[in-house]
Amino acid sequence: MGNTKISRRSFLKVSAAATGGLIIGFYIPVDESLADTTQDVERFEPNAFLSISRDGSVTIMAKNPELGQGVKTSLPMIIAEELEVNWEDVRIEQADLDPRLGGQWAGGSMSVTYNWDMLRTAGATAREMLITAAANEWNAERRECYAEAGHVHHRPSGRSTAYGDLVDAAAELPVPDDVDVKDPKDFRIVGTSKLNTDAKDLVTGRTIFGIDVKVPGML
Amino acid sequence: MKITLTVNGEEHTVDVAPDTPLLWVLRDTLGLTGTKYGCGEALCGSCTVHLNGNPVRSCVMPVSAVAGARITTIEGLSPDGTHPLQTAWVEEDVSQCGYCQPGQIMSAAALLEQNPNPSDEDIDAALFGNLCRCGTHVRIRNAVHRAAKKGGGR
Repeated sequence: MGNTKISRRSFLKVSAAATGGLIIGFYIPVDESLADTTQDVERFEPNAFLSISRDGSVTIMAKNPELGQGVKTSLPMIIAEELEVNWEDVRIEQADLDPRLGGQWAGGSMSVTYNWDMLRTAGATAREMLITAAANEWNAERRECYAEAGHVHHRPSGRSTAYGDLVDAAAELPVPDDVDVKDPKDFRIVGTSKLNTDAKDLVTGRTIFGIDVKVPGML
Repeated sequence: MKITLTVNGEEHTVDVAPDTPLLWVLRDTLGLTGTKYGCGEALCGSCTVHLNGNPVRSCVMPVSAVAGARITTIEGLSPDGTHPLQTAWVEEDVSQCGYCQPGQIMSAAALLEQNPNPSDEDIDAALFGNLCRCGTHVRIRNAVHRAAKKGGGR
């Protein structure tokens, strides 16, 4: 089990950033020594899949290239679903090229299929850690707690805590090996039609396309 | 050669070869990258801007020909994305890749100034020269109608 924990840590890395937040990172297995360095974690984790800061704001990275097929919106939807946050509270950021994110390609209509399990696991893992953090704080049983709309709720007492108030505690927890993903009948985000996350920027000319990129020294 | 023109209400004097297409003055000299390059031959419409309120293809418009003129680009259509066409475009979720949409919107804006209540045929004719490879045409038409209902001629 000890080995499982370490190898899991290299697969899903958790850290509290200096600004105070819970970051779940995706790694292709990396140098194990990096995975154990929890003190300077900000340095080791520039691009994670989701982060939650102490004020409760949720940022989800869009890992694949967006070319109008909608993956900048749909892949984060998968994460947000399992994470149990309101879609309106999610901020999406386009991920940079980052080997830790795995294959960052789009083609063959494969983005959702290829990333389905991995992204659900990422969201579910974060959710489980937040629930565990709350349960620990309340001295409650895990099974008495559930997550919904960016909060963890305790069924018997009706109390709840916002994710933002749990990030420090959650970041201290070991990353669980095995998390349950939601029953599709409980989906609130996946299966619904969401607005293109870039809709407003596209009609104001703000979106940067390949041709718009400027780098020093270019002709 | 120094040429002065007004872009989105601001006067600029640029020092470029006089036959430089307006498109590149906007994108490269002035850094307004909302107007797009798609063909360079006035065939696709993605470079559409307003010249004294009229839609033109900036990729074939030499900047010397617009000296002293008033140019409006997508960035200048509204200060904050609130032109009725822009809000209609979002409400109808028109954009897929979005590359053609600034040109589509500029053409549509000029249409609504001339014709505040266009028919489907009017819209098709006015936007005929704006190509969309993603195929958003149905939603474009819906959005133009929606903007027209909101008084989209501004």
